[in-house]
Amino acid sequence: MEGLEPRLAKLARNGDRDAFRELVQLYKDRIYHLAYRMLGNAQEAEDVVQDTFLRVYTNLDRYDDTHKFSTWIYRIGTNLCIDRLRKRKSTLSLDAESSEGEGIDGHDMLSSPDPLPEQQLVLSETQQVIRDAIEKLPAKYKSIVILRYLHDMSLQEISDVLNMPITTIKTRVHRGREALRKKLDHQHFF
Amino acid sequence: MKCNEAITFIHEYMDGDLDAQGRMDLRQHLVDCAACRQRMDQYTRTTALIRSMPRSPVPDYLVDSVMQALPGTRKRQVWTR
Repeated sequence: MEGLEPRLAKLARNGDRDAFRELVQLYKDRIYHLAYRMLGNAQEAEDVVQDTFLRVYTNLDRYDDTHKFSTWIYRIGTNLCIDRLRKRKSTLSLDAESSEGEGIDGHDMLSSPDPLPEQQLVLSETQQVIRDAIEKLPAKYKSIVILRYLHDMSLQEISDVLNMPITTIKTRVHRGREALRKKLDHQHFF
Repeated sequence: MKCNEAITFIHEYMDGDLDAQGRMDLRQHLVDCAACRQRMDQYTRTTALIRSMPRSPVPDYLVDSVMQALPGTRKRQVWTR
C-alpha cells in the first residue's frame, strides 16, 4: 500500500497545493528542530524550513517514491544546514557589511545561539551545558548526533539521509558521543 | 579484553550493533574494570541528556509563510490544461 507521503507528493506534483500544505504540516516541526539545533538560531531555522520546502516543491518531479519521503526531505534540510555552517566558516573574518542584509555584518551573521526561544523554555544549567556542547561540535559530528539522538534515527537511516557509508556513520557517532562526553567531563559534570 | 577494545564494544552496544558473543565479552570486562564501567555510565548519561533537550517552539505562521513563498504554478499543470 502506498504511504501517505508518497501519495501527497504525487498529488502535489500534479498541482494540488493543499496536498503540499499537508506535507509542510507533517514535516515543518522536524525540519525546524533539526535546523535550530544545527544552527542555534531561530531566524536561520525558519530560513532553512523555507528553503527546504521550496526545494522539495520545485523538485517533486525528481522524488523517487520507492524511497522514504522523510529520508529525502531530511537530506535536503541537513545539506542546507551544513552549507550554512560552511558559509559561516568561510566568512569568519568578514568585517564588511553583508550583501544579504541591511546593516548586518559578518559578526552578526555569526551570532551565538539565539537566546530568546530557549529562554522562554527556561533551560536548566545542565541543558545549557548540553546545548553548548552540541553547538561546538564540528558539523560532521553535529549532524549525526542530532539525527541520532534528537530525531531518533537508526544508523542505517542516517546513512541514507547523508548518503554516506554506514561504517562512516558508526565512526562519527562514536566520535561525536566521545566528544560530548569529554566536554561534559571537562565541565566536571559527571 | 583491553580497555580500548572494550570502549569500541561499548559504542557498538549502545548502537545495538554488538553480537551476543561481543556482549558477553564486554559484560565480563565491565565486571573487572571500574574505569570502563564509569565510561559506559558517562556515555549513557550523555545520550540521555541529549535526548531530554526541550524543543524550541515552532512559529505558528511557518506553514503560511512556506506556502506563500512557493512559486505560483507548477509546470505539470501547464501540460494538463
